[in-house]
Amino acid sequence: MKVIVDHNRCQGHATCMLKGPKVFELNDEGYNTMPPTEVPPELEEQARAGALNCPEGAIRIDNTRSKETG
Amino acid sequence: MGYDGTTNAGKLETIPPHVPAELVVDWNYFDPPGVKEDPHIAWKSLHDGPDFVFTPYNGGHWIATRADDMFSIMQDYETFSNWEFTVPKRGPDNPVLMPNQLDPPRHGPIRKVVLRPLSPKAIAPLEPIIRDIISARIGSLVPNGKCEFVSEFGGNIPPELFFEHARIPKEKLPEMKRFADTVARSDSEEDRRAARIGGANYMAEILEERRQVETLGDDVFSVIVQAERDGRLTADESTSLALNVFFGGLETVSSALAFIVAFLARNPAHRQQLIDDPSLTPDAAEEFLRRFGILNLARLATKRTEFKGVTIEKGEQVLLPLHLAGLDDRKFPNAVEVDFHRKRAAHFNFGTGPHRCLGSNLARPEIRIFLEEWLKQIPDFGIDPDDGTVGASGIAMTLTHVPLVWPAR
Repeated sequence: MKVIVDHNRCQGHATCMLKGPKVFELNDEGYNTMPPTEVPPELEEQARAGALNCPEGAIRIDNTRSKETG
Repeated sequence: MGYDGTTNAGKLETIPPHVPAELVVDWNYFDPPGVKEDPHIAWKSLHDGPDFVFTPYNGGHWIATRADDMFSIMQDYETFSNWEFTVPKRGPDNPVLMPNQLDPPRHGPIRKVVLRPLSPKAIAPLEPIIRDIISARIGSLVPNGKCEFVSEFGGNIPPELFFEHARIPKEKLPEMKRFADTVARSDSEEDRRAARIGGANYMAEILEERRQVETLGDDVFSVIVQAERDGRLTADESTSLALNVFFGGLETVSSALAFIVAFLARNPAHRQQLIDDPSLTPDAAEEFLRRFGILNLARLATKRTEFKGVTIEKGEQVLLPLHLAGLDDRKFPNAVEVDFHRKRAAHFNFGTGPHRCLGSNLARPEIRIFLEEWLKQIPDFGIDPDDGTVGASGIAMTLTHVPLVWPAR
């Protein structure tokens, strides 16, 4: 699983970090500027909760598996 | 600003011809029917009618009642400006609130000045101070076995925490609190304007004191003065930005706490869940924010536009009851139910789009810490059976009276 954050949509609500503190990171101004990031299986629930609770709908979950990981 | 600057705060005598008769509701948002008993349920009655309605009260304005429509309007800042962000229009001769009243692209650079001092990273180290203040005040109430929550706790602590965070002297707090109450809920535009001017004068004073300081700190007002020194703000912009941050910090959390504590007083099973599993508290705080939103903000149409099959004329306002977005059953099944295990509680209480509330990162820990400390010290409490809560609506909804009782120890 991968999380992809639309940096143009992010408005700094910080709910992603609240729901997924081990997945999401904010910069010093409180905005999510992280690049598309692979999520380990044990953190997938956090990632989903963060995406689901973003008031801007700025976080996309990509479940397509890459060829290498099958 | 080029829009129609006239203020007509009264009730329209005739409905404008472009408004379909079936969309007209008789809704004075300062005093909707049933507000004293329960402001949220009073407002929720609008969900029994059309999604998008028009009321002749307060100068005449539209009301978007559904979450998706509020979202679209808040995102489309070119059509729906923040210049007049409360109903009725404030008109000329009012202190301007920046960045709130500005639209992109002017809005961004001014907002950017205060992002750092209000970011989660800047607030986190303040949590022990917030906890100490909250815990000590609750501790002083415990032996009494009762309190009127609004006057003895909820109405004072969030403003005090804000004064602490902003490092400004507390002797003006009661006066400023009165101004904030007036701005939030007085139905007299004259009184609201006077309160805004009073607040602006105080901000000018505070900033003038900060300007005398050689080495500035990292509190929000010092950061504003530093931006002025760096040439990023003019003196007028500084005052306007300070006033914006200030009024945002005075009123809102107090109202949220009043609703939350009244709910917990009436729902022992919910209290028990948080006592049994305190790790639920952040999710509970978020669920409370969804269920008990408070703000009625607005946008101003910058041009004639079609929305949901109706014509909105340039210069008309659309009221966005952000609390109703959280109560929209299309988004949140059984929206009136408080469920700490709800998977999705993505509410709009801090707005969406470029004007997301600047204080949200301070508000959240205040609410979470309040829940933790209150339940630790006063786990068992109820509403005084000989008295009751009193609700009020306006730009910010609140409970003005919350009489609590608990077993004295």
